[in-house]
Amino acid sequence: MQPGGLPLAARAEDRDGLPLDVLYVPLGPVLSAWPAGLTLQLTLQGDVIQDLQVDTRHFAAKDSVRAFWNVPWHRALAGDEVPVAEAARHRAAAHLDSLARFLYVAGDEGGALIAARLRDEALAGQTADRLLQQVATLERRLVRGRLLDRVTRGVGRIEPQRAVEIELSGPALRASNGGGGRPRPATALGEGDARSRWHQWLAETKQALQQAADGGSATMSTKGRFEGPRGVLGQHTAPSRALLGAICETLVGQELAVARLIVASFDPDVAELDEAGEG
Amino acid sequence: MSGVTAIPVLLIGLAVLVWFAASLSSVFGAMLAGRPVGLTELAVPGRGALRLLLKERSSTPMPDALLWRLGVVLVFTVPVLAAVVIPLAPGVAVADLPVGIVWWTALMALLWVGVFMVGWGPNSAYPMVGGYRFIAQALAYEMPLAIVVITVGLLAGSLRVSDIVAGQEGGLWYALWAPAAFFVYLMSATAQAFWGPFATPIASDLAGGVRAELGGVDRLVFTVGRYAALVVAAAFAVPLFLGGHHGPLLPGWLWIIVKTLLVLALLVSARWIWPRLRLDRFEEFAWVVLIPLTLVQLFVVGAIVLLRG
Repeated sequence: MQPGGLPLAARAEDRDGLPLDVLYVPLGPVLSAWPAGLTLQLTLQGDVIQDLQVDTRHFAAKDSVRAFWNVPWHRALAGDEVPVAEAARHRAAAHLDSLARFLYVAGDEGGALIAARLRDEALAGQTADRLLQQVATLERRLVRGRLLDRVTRGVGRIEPQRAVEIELSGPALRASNGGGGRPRPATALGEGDARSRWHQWLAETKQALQQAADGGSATMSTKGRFEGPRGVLGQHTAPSRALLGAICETLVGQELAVARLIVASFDPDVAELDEAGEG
Repeated sequence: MSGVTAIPVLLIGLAVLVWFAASLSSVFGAMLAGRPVGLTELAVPGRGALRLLLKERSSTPMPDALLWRLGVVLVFTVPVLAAVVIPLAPGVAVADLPVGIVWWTALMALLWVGVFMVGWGPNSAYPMVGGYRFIAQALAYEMPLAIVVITVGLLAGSLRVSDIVAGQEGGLWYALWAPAAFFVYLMSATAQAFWGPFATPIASDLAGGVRAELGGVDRLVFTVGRYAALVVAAAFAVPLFLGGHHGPLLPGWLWIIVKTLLVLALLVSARWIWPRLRLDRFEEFAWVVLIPLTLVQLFVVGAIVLLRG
């Protein structure tokens, strides 16, 4: 029976073994403050996510388009001489972009506007010292009253061991207290939850801006591992692939209410998948 | 002037305050985004309204159209009807009912029904979750709000709004007699208008929640209704807690306007200062902290009233 062309909800056993209506609800591919082109096909029972499927076909690029946020590192991989300061500035802008989306989803519209403005100023060439000051102001705003901490604590937790197993890299790995390379900034918490991840972004933004301020005219070495804003580049899989894996793991069993918050706290970039020949 | 003749004043006042709240919110947003702020912000609500009026209304497959449209109308009419007991100037109100504060509380509780109907109607997942969220939110704020209103009634020894204003004449405002109650009132009023940190039913993490499927004139009426709920909550704080028209130098009606604008500005700014609360966590806070707090406040006020004789 399909009243109005819509199939009626089917039933299946939920996590407690009770038969419950099953509802299929897509998240994406277009939502405000959502990774453009990502679709999550959710299977809901009540408002609990029982299963999900990732689909990134919608916006798949026809030609190999470079992900905007990875441009400096790809140029270095290709042998170009890229100034350290320029890459650091790009990294800071990328983290501020992720932060703006996360804050919007967390309902802090004011903080989201500030982060987005700082991102634009970083790309437009505002001095690193001035940006550092403003990021510090933003940080004071976010930790004030510890409200955002309370809202994001324990959300979408990835244990350190698991973070390594699913090949997370970059800020998401360090937020799970793993992965060396870069010293872990003091304010990051390393608990592997959404709270640790936004603190990590903020800390690494400051670190990158400091680097941009000190950078001088040094260029990135053309050897070794290159870490983009979301993780190590030039490997067989894109960092965002691991982030999607983490999303799949943490979303099942959660309520619809926190799904968006978890996705925003990992913030995968679909363009990155396209350039790695995936998607 | 009273009764029916005050109706136009009330409606025009509401419209101006809704306009003010929307413009002020847009000013705060522009400041944070680093845009230049000018008088053009005053045109932002009008521009938004015009755009919605020109847009087509949207619909969904198999909606419960009657409940859906009725819900939108309800979200708009409830705050306007609740406002009839608010004094507009000394001795002037559309209806100074003997049970004024009960009328206001009962009417505003109808917002639940309206918002839930807007969520239920379109036969779509996100609005529905948004509608349920508002019921859960009401579970958190409605009890503390009811206790707070009882506290004020106890202080004045009357449920009539003009008696409550008279009770603050020449003495301390009730905001100072019962500061905890005033704080909880402001918080609950924000939650009632699902504004700022309490905007859970229309949240960005639900793709717009109950208003996800609203377009055109429906969306306009819903949005205006939400602003009206915020305005009415701010305006009602003036007679309840801030001494109504009482104040030095200025005439009474001007005091009412000044106080209402200040409370409204405070509520509007909350949107740009705090992140949205998670309902599961706010629920706990409301029942473990707010309800005991308001009860203690009620007992303290009861003791004060007894001692004063």
